[in-house]
Amino acid sequence: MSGLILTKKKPGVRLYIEISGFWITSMEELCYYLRNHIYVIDKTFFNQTFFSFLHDMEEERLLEKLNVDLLSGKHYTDLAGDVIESVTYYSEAEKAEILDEFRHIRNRTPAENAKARADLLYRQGMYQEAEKEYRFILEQPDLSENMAADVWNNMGILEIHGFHYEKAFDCFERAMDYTEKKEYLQHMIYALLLWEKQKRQYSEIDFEQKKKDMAIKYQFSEVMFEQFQDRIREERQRILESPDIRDFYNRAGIDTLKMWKEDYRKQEEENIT
Amino acid sequence: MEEKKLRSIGIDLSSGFASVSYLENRNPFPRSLSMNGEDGRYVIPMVLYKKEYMEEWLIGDEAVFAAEYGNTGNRVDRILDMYQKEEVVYIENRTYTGKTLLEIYLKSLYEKTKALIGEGQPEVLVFTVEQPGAEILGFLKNLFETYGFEKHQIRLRSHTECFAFYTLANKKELWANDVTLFFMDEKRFFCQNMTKKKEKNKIMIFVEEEDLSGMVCYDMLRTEEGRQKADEALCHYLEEDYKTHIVSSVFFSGIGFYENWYQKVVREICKKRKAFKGFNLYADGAAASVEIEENPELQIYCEGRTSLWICVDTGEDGKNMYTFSKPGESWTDSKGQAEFLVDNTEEIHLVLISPFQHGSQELLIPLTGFPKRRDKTLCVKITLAYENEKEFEIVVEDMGFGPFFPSSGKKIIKRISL
Repeated sequence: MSGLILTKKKPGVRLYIEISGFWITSMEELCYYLRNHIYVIDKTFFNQTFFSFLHDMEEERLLEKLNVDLLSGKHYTDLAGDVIESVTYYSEAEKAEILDEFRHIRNRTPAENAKARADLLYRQGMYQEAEKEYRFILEQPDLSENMAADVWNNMGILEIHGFHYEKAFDCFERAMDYTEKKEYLQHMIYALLLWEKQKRQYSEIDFEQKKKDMAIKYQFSEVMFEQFQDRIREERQRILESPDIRDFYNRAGIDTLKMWKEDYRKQEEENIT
Repeated sequence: MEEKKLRSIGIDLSSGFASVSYLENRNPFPRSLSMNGEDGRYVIPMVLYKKEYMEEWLIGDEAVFAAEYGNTGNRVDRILDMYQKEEVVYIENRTYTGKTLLEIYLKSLYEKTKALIGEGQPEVLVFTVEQPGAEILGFLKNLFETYGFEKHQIRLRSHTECFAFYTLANKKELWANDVTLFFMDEKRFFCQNMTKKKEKNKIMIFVEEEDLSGMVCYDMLRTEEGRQKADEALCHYLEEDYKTHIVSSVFFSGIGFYENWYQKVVREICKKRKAFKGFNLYADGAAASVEIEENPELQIYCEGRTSLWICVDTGEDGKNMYTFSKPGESWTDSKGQAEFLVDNTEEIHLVLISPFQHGSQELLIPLTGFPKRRDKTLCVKITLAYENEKEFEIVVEDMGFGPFFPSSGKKIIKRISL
């Protein structure tokens, strides 16, 4: 079918998605969210707030179906499937494809689903939530070496975002301990160089020795450090010269910088506690 | 004993005067209101008088009387005309616009009305004017919001509609066949003919108008000779007219029929029909409209009413239509709004359907300039509103898609004349 789909909305009725931090106001938006964020949610998504939303949207038949499925102990992806099937947003072919994907989720291990969820949270910029998921994964028994390595690598990237270069270096090193991959090694080098620049004046760490030890351990030439340093300089220059960055800075002004400082300060406080 | 409730107040705003009627919950027919008690005078001159050096105004007969003995410079006539022509007047070195004066007049009229009726706020306030427009409708809604009315409680109807409402509020025997209204004032003389047609479980009411100013006019009535000629001309017209259709009742309204110059006409009419004279017919019709318009069997087609179905084709080869407006409604109330997700299409299909003709007319509104997003993530809000019975406006607006895609702010506005 092509044309127009009348949206299912009710004035003043909306649902707050806490994990994602926004509101949705129609059944179609809910379907879109479930389809694209199935890894982010879990059974706790289908809570009283959610059911109140469906009640206010006058979706009584869907509510009955969900209640029956909940009492039957069905998986949360079944509940998500019920919602998607009840709304004429996706076509029949699309629904079949989505439900099939949901079935695959049920067959995955908790660690695999948590990894997909964590990766999605990271892509959405929800770094703290992503970190929590990664730590959960690392606590799982029988974690494969590849999975563990990937998770440590991703945690290292999160630490880079937080300017915690020393921690990032540790994470990348642990990733390399599991599986020696070129990507992880490159991340280690970057992290070390950024750490060095951040701490050189105040730290007693002998960064030159660290570099030598690294080059010996992972069998690469120390010249690589210079090459990576050059790349960092080029990237920094590119960012500084970017008109978008200049415009943004001019637009944002001091208030935005204050806001960032405040957010960073809160993040640091949470990390300490 | 059940408390009497005020169902509606009907207010006719004509060029030279206003009149008021009201409908109570337990009475089927509206009652006309006289500002001077039960003196049988139901017309209220459209006159304002500002008391000298005070912020107090008089309206109607009180204003006329006060001006006779006071400062004639403080008198303002034809307030409605002043509003419509956006005129200004200077009183005691201050400027007053037509809009301000009409506000003062209406507030005073409403307060006097409430005091005379002695009941609470009506459920609905219905105004009637010769030619309703979006501007005066907005003016009235804004003004009476200050009295605690919600916008939907303020209505505006045309005189033609109110003639139909008034007739339909009467006993059925009066409109068993056609009903005619003759109206004359200083500017015009016309005849409106109401007919009906039964279809399935509905009664369709039609009102058509014929301008008779070329045959008889108000100026003719200034002389005895002119009045006799007018009487004969109108009588001859009726004799010919009654050969073509059956008329149950005839109404006479307007200042042209104050005096009884039309004796021959009355004798001709009353052979087989009922005749009535009334100057607050429109106000009565306005008050009665709340009951008539709630009758699902009646569909009224006349000046001031919509004449088409206006729908959006949502796809599936015309099998699915979303209706924004239906025929037979007051255009002032006929509006619609809905949000749609765009699914693999680059235009909106607007469909106009007449209840009296086969087929339909389609208008395409291309979504030019709207963002190209993947399917079903472009949400558009379509709004339809009439400007008058012959013109409506369609607005198509990008609403984004929830928190996932922000609105581009793109908007298309199309005005369509019927």
